[in-house]
Amino acid sequence: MLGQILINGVFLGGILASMAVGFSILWRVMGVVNVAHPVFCLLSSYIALTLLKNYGVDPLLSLALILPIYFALGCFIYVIFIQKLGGKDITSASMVLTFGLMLIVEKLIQATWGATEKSFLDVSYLMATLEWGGIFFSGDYTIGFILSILSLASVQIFLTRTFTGKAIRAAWQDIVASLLCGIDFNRISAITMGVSFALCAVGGICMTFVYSFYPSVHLNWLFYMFLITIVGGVGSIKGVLAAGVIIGLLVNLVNLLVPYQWITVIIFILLVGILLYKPTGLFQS
Amino acid sequence: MLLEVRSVTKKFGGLIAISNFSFVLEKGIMTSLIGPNGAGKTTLFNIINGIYPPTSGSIIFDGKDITGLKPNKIARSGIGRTFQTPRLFNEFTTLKNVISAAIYGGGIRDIREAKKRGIELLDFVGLEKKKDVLAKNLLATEKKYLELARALAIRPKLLLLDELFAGLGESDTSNAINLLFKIKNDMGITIFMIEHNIKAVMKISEKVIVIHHGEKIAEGVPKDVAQNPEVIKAYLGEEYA
Amino acid sequence: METEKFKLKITFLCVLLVVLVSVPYFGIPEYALSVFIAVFIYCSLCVSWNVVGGYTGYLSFGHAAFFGFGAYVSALLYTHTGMPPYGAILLAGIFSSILATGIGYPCLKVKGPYFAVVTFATVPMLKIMFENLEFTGGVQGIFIKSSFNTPTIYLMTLCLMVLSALMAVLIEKSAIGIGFTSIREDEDAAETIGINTSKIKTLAFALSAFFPGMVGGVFSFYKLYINPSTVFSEEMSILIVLFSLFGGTMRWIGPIIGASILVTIDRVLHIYSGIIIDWLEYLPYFKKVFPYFSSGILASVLFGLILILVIIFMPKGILGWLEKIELERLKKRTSGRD
Repeated sequence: MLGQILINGVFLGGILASMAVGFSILWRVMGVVNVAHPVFCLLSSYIALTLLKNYGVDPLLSLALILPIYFALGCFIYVIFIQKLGGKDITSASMVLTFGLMLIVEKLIQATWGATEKSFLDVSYLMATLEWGGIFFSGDYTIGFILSILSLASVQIFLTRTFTGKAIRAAWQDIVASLLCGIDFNRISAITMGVSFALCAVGGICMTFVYSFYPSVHLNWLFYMFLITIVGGVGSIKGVLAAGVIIGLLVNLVNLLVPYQWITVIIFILLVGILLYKPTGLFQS
Repeated sequence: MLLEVRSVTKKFGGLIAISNFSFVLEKGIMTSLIGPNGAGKTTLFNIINGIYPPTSGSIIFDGKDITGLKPNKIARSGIGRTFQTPRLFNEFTTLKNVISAAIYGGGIRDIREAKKRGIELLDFVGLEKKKDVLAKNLLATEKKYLELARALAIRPKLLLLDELFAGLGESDTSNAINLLFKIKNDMGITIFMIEHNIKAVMKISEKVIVIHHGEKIAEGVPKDVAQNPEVIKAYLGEEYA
Repeated sequence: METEKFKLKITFLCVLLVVLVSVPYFGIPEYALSVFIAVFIYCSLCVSWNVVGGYTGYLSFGHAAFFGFGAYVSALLYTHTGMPPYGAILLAGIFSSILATGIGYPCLKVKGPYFAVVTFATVPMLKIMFENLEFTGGVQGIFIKSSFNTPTIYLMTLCLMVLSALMAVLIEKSAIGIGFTSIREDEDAAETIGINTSKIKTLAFALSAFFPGMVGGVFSFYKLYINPSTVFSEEMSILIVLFSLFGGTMRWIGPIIGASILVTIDRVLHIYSGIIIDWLEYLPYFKKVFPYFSSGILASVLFGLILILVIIFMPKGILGWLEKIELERLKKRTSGRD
């Protein structure tokens, strides 16, 4: 029983982390707070679902197709919107701007797909369950978790082993110094945003493997994402994963005692509590 | 004894910014705090003024323990402060900057009274002609004077000046020195200042405290401090000691 | 010269007020009155929000919480205790301010995006709470049996708009206003000159919740039925910020201008939605791509777009734009003299 909760918690944690990581690194690198991040995650799920329902395309394959599109979308949004904001007070300005973006995308999702709840129930491997050592590994959580870990690991490798990744980290340490080293700040920023959006695509698919979705569900995701980012420390991938796992375990444990709806309330109280006690996050990167 | 700093230590995570720092400021004695860059001067000011609480140690001002109090409380107890780079209310006019301080720090509830006081203080620092100019449009030196006027508006007993003389040319420097003497003699305010301008320091300070790597390495009258080998070593390195 | 301009402004406002008060007596159709009511409601919400959002610079993204809370307080007081409506509405405002003090004190300890998300979270939080409590009617909500007709609601909301604007004006001219705006300009410097920023911010937040609470209270008597999802709206929270930013947050009149323009546009879109949708469906593939389109969605998309455009091109809103024009004009005049 405890083992089951542990596995569920860890798996859920990884999935939540994969949704939050793009948001976290974007904030750390560029100071851009993209509250529309979850709604774009959601959008990729809707797209994957349509490809599945209308053309029979497997969601994982859809993801592979969506990834480059989302990367380009991220670069596009950077150039069209964020770059225009200039440097002054970019955190508040980007937040307000992305609230607007969030509203538009949510409503367009509603206009396209309607408000009824959707899910990936038809996909066979998601419904499968394996048993091992008395613990049940359901397809949705397991595959979602594997996907999450892969994406988190990829980002970590990208940031630490590739030249572009190191350039991004240089830019986030010291903008002026990196400019002096010949790093094109706009190009780096566009790439960072592209990466953030690509992670959106993965995060969305992972989340919707385990949760059903509707146009306004991204608001729930927004709190979890924010909570995880803050608890893990903005910009730390390991922190995001750790925070995700903590939250995932917490949700599963609390679920035993308290009906589902109240979990969000508890998460909220947790969020407020953490902000008051340690606004910089429990882990620092 | 106006201000007593007792064994104050400040750590930021693992970094020790201020280490076991103790000194006393007497009323009316113009004191300077000098030290190489990064020694911890502004940090010490931030601790006295309440922006950071000390990790350990205490601060007694005018007989009351002000350790750990919020900056606004410390300000209203009588400690005023200027910043290295002036932090003005940029979208306010020069006069409104001072009015705000007069109301909240100086305790003048009536706006018209506060306005009068504001004009007096702007007159004192020489900014009365610019009273309706937005603070962001002032010249760099004028901004320093405005911050001074604003700090005076809270009717402080102790005034902490962080590099007031930085960036001031010859005439502004002697002008500023005159103002400081007036503040000390006519207003009875004790001044404690961080300074890099050694000439000004030697000229007007009655006492100098030297900080290096967060520790007090010397304290005394300017002449003695200038010849202290520890001080010379701190500024110029081993060879010159 | 100053008093001349001032007298002109006051006269203009008085005339406007008289005109507005007499509108319902001209036999205007109900749906037109509803547009005015919507405008007045949002004007009150925005000008109040501006007390904390514009003056102190803390952008609250959860102000709809006070509207919803006020709606419930007045509905519950009226239906469960038989309290007269005006009393219930007043208490709705007072309780909203108390709620704001309670929420505000912890939330105001953080700034910027942290503050935005925490305040944003209060709306769904309250929605869930009210959905799961017995005596608030749960998901079913509350029915209010009252006899206020639409013209009366019109006058009540107009009155609240005027009062909230008055409150904002008084704050702007007073020492309190200087305290609020000092915090916006530089919070640490404000602390250094003796402003108890924690207390003053919480005061701003409490004041900013009073009229939204009352407006919510009136809303209960207007729609005669409320439930958690209708009165606790995240979108309303965002729109309040949008309208205020659009108008300009520097002075009290900015949010009123912003709300008036945008709410009118929204209501007009709503009224002509049939025609607009027909028109949009002429576009190739429109119906195929967006089968669930509605006028509400159109308005929301438009607002999202306006929010983005405002923050990029007109961060100080209409007021800021007018100010810029004024400055250009002054520059031209002085350079002309040279």
